[in-house]
Amino acid sequence: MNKLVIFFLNKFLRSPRKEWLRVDSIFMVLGIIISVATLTISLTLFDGYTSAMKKIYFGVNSHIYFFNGKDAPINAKLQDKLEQFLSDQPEVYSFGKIISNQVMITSKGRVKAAFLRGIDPEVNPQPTTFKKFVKIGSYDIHENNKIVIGYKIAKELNVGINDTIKIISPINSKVTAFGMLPTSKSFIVSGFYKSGMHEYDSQYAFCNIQAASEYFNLADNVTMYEVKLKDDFIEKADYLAYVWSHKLDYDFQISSWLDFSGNLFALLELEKWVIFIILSFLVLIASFNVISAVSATIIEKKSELGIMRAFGASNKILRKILLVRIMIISFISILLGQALGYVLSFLISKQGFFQLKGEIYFIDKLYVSFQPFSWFIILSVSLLIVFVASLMPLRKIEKMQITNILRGAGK
Amino acid sequence: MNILKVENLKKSYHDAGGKLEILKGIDLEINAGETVAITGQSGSGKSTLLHVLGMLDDYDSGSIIFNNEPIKVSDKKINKFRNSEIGFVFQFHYLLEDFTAEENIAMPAFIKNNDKNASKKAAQVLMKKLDIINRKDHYPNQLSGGEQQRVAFARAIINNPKIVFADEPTGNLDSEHSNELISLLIHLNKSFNQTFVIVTHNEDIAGKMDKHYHLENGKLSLINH
Repeated sequence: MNKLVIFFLNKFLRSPRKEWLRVDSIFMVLGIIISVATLTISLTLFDGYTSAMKKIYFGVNSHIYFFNGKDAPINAKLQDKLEQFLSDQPEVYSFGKIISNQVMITSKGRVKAAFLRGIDPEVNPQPTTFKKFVKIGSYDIHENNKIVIGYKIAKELNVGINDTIKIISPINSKVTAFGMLPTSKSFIVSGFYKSGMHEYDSQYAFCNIQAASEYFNLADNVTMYEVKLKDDFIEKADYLAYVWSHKLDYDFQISSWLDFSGNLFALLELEKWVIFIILSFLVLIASFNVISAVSATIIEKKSELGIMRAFGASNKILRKILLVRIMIISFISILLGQALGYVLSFLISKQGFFQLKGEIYFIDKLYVSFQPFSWFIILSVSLLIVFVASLMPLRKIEKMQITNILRGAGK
Repeated sequence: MNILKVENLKKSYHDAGGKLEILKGIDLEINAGETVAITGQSGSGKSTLLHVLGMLDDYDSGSIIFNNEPIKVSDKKINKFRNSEIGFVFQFHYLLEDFTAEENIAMPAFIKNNDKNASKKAAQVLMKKLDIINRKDHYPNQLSGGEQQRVAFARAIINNPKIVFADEPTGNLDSEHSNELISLLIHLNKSFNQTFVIVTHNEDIAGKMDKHYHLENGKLSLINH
């Protein structure tokens, strides 16, 4: 940077008259801080919401699911083929088999529709991390009569730890003299999980795969396989599903998380940027203060600018001197606005006054997430808006006649 | 050898009352090392003439030849010309109030060479010669009128310009400081062979210059030589 520009900047910052504390500068700074803080809060909470959704979603779900391509359970032969294939894939972190079906859960005269999911608790590492969501009781489904249920199911059925619940299903119903008698099995509740995702907390119950197999009378068959990918391949799940389907001779119907919930996350991403664009208008409005502050500075510094031009300073260098001042102040203001935004977001996420409705927003809590990319975008876009706003009044410098300035300033 | 030659210079302004002709054909020649005074009544166009000669304002017609080269405000090299070829002293000093006396003097040199330390050293040399070195870290509002005018003169000559224009340099000074300033001007002229063109109301000061012109009705006439 030109040394003269640096010299002027240094003088401005250390000026005994503290020019940057002028009223128009203060309003400019406040405008930028408040608008950038608002923008930061919205993006931070949105990023928090999205990452919490993903974290919870991948806590209870895997990335790729394998079903029998012929709309039947996966038999032992196919299981061997699949397990051998998955063991050879470098993208795979872990995999496990699942038996899943819709059931009714009853207890104390109350009934609740749910999904019973039988999993193998011995698989290490587990393809899902739902174990860590078990907040009350324990993650104990090693025995065939133990079950872990969502805390909302427990609430609706009014059951506690070690209470007995009954699972009822029309699958494999027995024909009796009184008609079809659904099969039922009793389980002891060993724990409640709370993922934070309404859909799961209110609908899913987990038991040992052996117990599920016996209950649904599936022998060696399983309903599906779930596969957890290594972090670098999560976004490529769709592509892997497509490639693997071919490699496995189309014996399996393979679905990725993008098939189930890709649209939801794409929509969240889209909404985030729509909100960003809308709230960027706040920075645009704040930039009007920049225009008036720069205009006021030009008017106040008229004689200084005139003298500098009389001594051979070019319009370009004078514009630079003022622009660098404005950009430095704006840069600091934007950083302060972002810091304020992050602090307020953190406080908002910690407050208990306002919570999300899980039934509507999938999760029932506000989360904060610091994303370097969002931070960079807010900084860049805000700086760009301030830069463009500054250029408009700075064009006046070129139109200023030195003699008019000197005559006016002398009076 | 003349360094400034002006031929049939005309300048007018347009205002609500129509076209106002200020300079109606000025002819002037200034040689290197001369001191020139231009006098005239208020509103006669003295300052306008000085601003036009100093390339702070453009002219309508005629020509200004500086060192055998025609020059206009619209020229691409005008900033370099203002910075290095000429110096200006204004009636109201126009010192930059956020800068010390030393920094004010150094400013044209800093604009020229983009070297703060070298510019400050050059400023200190001049401040010693003008006997204001003890005021180098003072701000303009901490200087007397005479000291401010010395700073303004030092600033005008720091880049060794070929010609210095001074617009009513004694206009805001009492008689004692006025005499002091004119002595300084003559001293700079003798010591550095510095060419000066000054606009003044004061006939006594004008009488001390090598040439004395009078501006009346937009025309310049030589009073003495």
